[in-house]
Amino acid sequence: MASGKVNEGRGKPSNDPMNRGAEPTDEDLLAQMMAGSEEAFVRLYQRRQPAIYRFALHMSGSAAVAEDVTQEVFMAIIRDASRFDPARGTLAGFLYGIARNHLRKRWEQEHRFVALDEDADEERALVSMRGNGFAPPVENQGDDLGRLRRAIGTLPENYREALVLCDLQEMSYEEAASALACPVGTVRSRLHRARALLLEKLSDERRPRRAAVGE
Amino acid sequence: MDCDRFREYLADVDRPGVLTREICEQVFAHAEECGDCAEMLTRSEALDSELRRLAANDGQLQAPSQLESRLIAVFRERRASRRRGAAWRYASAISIAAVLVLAIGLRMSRSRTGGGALPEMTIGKPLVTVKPTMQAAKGLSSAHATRPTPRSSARQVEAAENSRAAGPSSNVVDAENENGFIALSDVDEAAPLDDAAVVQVEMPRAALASFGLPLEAMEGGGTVRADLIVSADGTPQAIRLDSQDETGAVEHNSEAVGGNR
Repeated sequence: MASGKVNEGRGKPSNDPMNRGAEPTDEDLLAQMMAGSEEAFVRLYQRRQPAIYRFALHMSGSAAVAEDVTQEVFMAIIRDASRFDPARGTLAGFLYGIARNHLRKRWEQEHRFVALDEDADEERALVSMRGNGFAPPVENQGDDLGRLRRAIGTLPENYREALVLCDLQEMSYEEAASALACPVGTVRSRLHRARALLLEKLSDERRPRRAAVGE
Repeated sequence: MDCDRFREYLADVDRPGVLTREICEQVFAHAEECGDCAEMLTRSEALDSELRRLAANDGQLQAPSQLESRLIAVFRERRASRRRGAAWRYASAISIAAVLVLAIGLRMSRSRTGGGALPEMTIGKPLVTVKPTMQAAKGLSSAHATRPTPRSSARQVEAAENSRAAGPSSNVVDAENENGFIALSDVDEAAPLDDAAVVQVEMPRAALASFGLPLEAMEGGGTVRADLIVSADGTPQAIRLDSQDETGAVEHNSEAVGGNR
């Protein structure tokens, strides 16, 4: 889709010829980190943090939640990096998996309490609009990007994950499948469905505006 | 290509490496023929364009720099904690190993010196102090010449040591000398007998087993009196039962100590 793909999910060194052979893999850095190298931890953090943060931001629509989730992800590997098993996938996939778990926990905590007053119906309607996740970000909701963010935020969680990873993080199907711990075919079908739903939502938003302009 | 197949490929048409060139050409060819699919392609390309804008807009977003500082602090704390834990485990292992070595050494030492604690017995005053050396005990003439102790006691020690020199595996009865001292079978042959003493003890008959004496010596209950040659480190080297114990006479001891009692 987009040009200039970033190898978000790969634990391999960059394909940049300038860096080829010089960059340690994620797994190398993790091993050094486990041996006590702070430098390795910092490099790993700086390499993986932006993508994790943006994933959490796009999934939650909240900068505060994205920061918390990013912190939890890296705290997890500081606490017990040995939980990562290279035989089961890439380190990037492992980190995304932790981020997804924390996002789910957050979402469950947010919806543990149900309002009992007359606003309950409104609350339920809002949750329904959000899909299986957080509300879209409130900032810049008036412009095109804001509308797009809001529309993405209303997608069901599984579809949104596929769209965020493949279309916003520009991962390949294989990388997204590793991050989401599901088959490539599942990622592909979820992405197609997400895009179809997104087009539908954006069309619905434009239609009333056009009608209003026509009147 | 039909419309269903077109929709199946639509999302991947602009995704590098997913569709072959031929399929992409078929998708575009179908869009030129089908108005609905052409509109769908246009909308899909518009969505791609907007998603790219959003990705570019958010591409520079990252967590606040304070988060990195916080995590580095946590990393350092955990690393220090692990090192402390490792040092503690190392020290613990060393301590346990030292205690084990000490315990094993003590046990081996006890085993070599008569199997641990002496049987419960009442120890009388030392009958005599002898100062034979092992070499003196083995070389009879020099032993007699160097012993400053009463002759009878020296003879007893000499006899006991001679019998003991027969080896720890020798029969207890064989090791009994003419004065009735029986070398204890498991004493260390190389143990020095400097400042050895003959002491009279009273102990339960059952306790004689710990000296390796024959079973018949233990028949009957009560206590028995005996003379022990005890080396300077407290290890019994030889024993002699009081032959008159049952009658209450102690002439054997009197003879043994040459009137010291």
